[in-house]
Amino acid sequence: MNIFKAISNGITLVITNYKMALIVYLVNILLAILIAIPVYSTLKDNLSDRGVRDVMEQNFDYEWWSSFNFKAEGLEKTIRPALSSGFALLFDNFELFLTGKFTGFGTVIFFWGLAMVFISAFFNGGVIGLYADEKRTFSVSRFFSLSGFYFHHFFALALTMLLVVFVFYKTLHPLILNLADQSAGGTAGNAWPVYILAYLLLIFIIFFIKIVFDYAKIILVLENKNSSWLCIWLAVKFVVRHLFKTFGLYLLLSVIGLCLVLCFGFLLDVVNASSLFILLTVILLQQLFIFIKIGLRFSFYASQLELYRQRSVEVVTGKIRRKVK
Amino acid sequence: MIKRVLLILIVFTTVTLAQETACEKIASYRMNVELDVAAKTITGTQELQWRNNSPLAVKEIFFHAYLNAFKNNRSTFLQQAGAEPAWGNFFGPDWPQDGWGYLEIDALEATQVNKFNKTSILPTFKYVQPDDQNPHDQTVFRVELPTPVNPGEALVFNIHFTAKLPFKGIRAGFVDDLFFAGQWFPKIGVLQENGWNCHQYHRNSEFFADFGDYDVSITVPENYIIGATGILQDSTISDGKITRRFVQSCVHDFAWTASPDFKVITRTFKHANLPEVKIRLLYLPENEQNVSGYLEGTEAALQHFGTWYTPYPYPQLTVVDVPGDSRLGSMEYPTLFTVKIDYNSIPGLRAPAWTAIHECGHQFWYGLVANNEFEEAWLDEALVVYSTIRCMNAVYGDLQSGKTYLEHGNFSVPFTLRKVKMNTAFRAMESYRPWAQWDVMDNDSWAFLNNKSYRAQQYYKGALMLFTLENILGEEVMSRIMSSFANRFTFKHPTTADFINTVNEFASQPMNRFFEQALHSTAVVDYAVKSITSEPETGLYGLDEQGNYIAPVEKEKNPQRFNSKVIVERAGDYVIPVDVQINFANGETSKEVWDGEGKWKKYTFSGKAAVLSVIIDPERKLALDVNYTNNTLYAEAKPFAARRWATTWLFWLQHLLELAAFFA
Repeated sequence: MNIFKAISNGITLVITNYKMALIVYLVNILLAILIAIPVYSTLKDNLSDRGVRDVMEQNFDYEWWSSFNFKAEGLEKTIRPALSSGFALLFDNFELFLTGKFTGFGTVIFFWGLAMVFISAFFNGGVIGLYADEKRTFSVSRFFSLSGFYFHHFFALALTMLLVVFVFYKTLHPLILNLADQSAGGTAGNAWPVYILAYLLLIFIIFFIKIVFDYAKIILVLENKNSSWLCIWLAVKFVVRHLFKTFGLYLLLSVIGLCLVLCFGFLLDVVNASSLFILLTVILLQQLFIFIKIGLRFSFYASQLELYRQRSVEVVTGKIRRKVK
Repeated sequence: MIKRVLLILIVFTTVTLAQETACEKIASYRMNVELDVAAKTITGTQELQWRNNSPLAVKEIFFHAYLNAFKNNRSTFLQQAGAEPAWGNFFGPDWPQDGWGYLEIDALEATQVNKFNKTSILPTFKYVQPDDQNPHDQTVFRVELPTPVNPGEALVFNIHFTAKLPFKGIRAGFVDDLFFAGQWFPKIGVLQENGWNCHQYHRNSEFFADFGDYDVSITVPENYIIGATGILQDSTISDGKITRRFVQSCVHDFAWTASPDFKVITRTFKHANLPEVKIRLLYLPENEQNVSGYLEGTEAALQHFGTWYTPYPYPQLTVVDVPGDSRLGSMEYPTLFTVKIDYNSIPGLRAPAWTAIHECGHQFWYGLVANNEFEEAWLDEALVVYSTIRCMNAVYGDLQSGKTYLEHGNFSVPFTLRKVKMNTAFRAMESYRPWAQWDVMDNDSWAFLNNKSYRAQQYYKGALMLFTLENILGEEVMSRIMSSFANRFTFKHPTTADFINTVNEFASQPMNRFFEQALHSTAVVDYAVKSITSEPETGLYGLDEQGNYIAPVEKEKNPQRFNSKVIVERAGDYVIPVDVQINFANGETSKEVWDGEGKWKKYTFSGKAAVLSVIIDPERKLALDVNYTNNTLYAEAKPFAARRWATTWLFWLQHLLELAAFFA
């Protein structure tokens, strides 16, 4: 089976079971709304009866923000000019990923993100469990029951991944960037290609870690293993043995993700939500983007699961053929 | 056509005459120096002709030896700089051994016609520390003459010196094959009515010197390209070396640079009412993308400042682009300035043009109108920032905000937020506000809390003060003030008092209180609208004059009259009259002027319409106001803007949470 087939099957799986994505989307928005309420309250206090509201209805007022930000604390600090650009606010998040400065938006956001990691670990059990099941019939109770069933393993895997990622950002990450510093020399003009290469290498390593942990989850569910550590080891072996296929699949899906970000980034950038109707349209677009993004995340799992399953079948078939001969 | 030619002739003649007659030549230098690119040293001779222009007879002569600021970590400059986190590891323990700088005087002789022949005064040489008595600081030295020099008398000094340039040094130094010599030679102090004005080199301080003529011959390897103050006279080549001679009259400093890597662009600035200026840009190949901005900015500055203030009187201007990771850039010298831009500066902020306009602005404020930058830096820095903002606004209008991603070392990805406009003047406010109440503006440059506070006061508060002044007095009056100040004090050393006197001469009322608060206090301007209440007018109820009870009448659905109360407040401690505009629901407007003396002021209105909104300082005259967001208040709240940005914020967070799920 080639990676295109795996991706196609994976996406079909996600579409068939779209309700899982819907549940995760609802959790995402609920979690976000919890801290968006105080932010709205702050904005209301600072804008609703002030003259700047007329400008802010049309666009982001830098002067207002500068005064506001001077006294802002905590979550208020995350209100920033980048919100005015469809791209910038997505790049802001991407930058965290590339620099590892996850507390860049303050401790509240950091802990919210951490909570999301473990909530996702919980749901991942249900998602992969359901995709792995031959019957693949979705029901809310089955989804939650599978999530609960695998949670202790997936929690352990999430913790391990966080640990690996932490070590990566503290050791390899600065090492690679320091090497880039040295290679670029003192001249700014030479810096670009060197740093681009360094960041590509960083992305490659992060992807490798992610792919290994994805397959560890898949192996855990498909092979019914009891040890998360063993699954990580088996996943490393699988990924290394099928490096081109596993990476190829991951990169292809990442390209789809990138296109998605660029399309929605562009749309959100050009539309100016200066009236209630346009604002509602923009909100719909934003939520559609988040929903599709969750679907895409599930497509990674489903496609990788398809690939793993097919490779296993091929290996078993190969063994049988050799025995028959 | 004839008119134009006549005008050019008049301007040219005025400028030439001004240069020849108005410039008092106190200190003129003739130097012959050679650059040793391996040792990073400049060795040479100096003949200094100096005239005692003070009413004092002096026996002691004070000199600057600025390069000694980079001699060791105990110098006053590096002690002050090292205390700042932003200074980083510059000149720290790991600094290369050949990275330190110094100025050594090998021989020093003085001659005074009819008094004493050429006499070595080196034995009397002594480092002194007039500002802080730091024994490790060697940036000022004094020598003693055999006999005092009386007022009006002249002297000749003959000096042999060696200047070692520091690695990546601030304003002077070397990076790879590029050498920049600024403040590099023994330079005499300024003798004033109350004695020598010769300060040590401080982290925040710039310079002060008398005008004179400079004639400097510089020898470098043949393949090196030189840029220098003044006009190239001649070049001679011998033994693989080239000697170039530069001459400039009526300047108060001389800087030069040399590198084999420079690329050169020459352009002639032409304007109908201004003299021609040859612009020579020396740039590094890796910074080519900034070239158009540098040239555009330089020409814009020559045009606008020449028209607004006084024409640039010299025939040439040299612009030098220096490496981004050095501290050589963004510095002014007579007829030459340096520019330095981060490789990935945000395009929307137009940094190359801003820097070129700013540094070219110093050709006027510092170069021509030569204040004492040690003691009254605001007089050039604030005037330059003010002028730069005016020029940027005239040429480009609003800027676009932006941000840089993935900043690391020399790398970053710039991104312009094209929808977020920002006025150039607001950059001044952003730098001023955090440090508004830490220091007073009119202070010695080394007496500030830190470099940021120094810049906040001298550069940005000063510029905002000038914008406030312009808004109060009107653009036309302000233009007259600025051009008069420029013309009166070209080739002179004006003081703060001179500026205030010029302002008062043109202003309809004395502005002393305005300056007193701005220059000598930490008071901040902040006026705000505190509250608006509009109640439908009710009839009389309670007891009437005869003691009869009158029952209250129910509130009408469509009341005919309203009683409104508006309270405005002075949230800052800077007192200045301010306009208050009250807008009513029926479109009527009431304009009041509050003297700003009290802590608050109440306005009451009774009329057919309720108050819709109140704007304090509606024309934004008070550029010094540190918080304009509280200047307007609506009687009725509308949450649309808050909803718009809160939903965008929500979307951002949702995306971030989805990113967090990546690690699950």
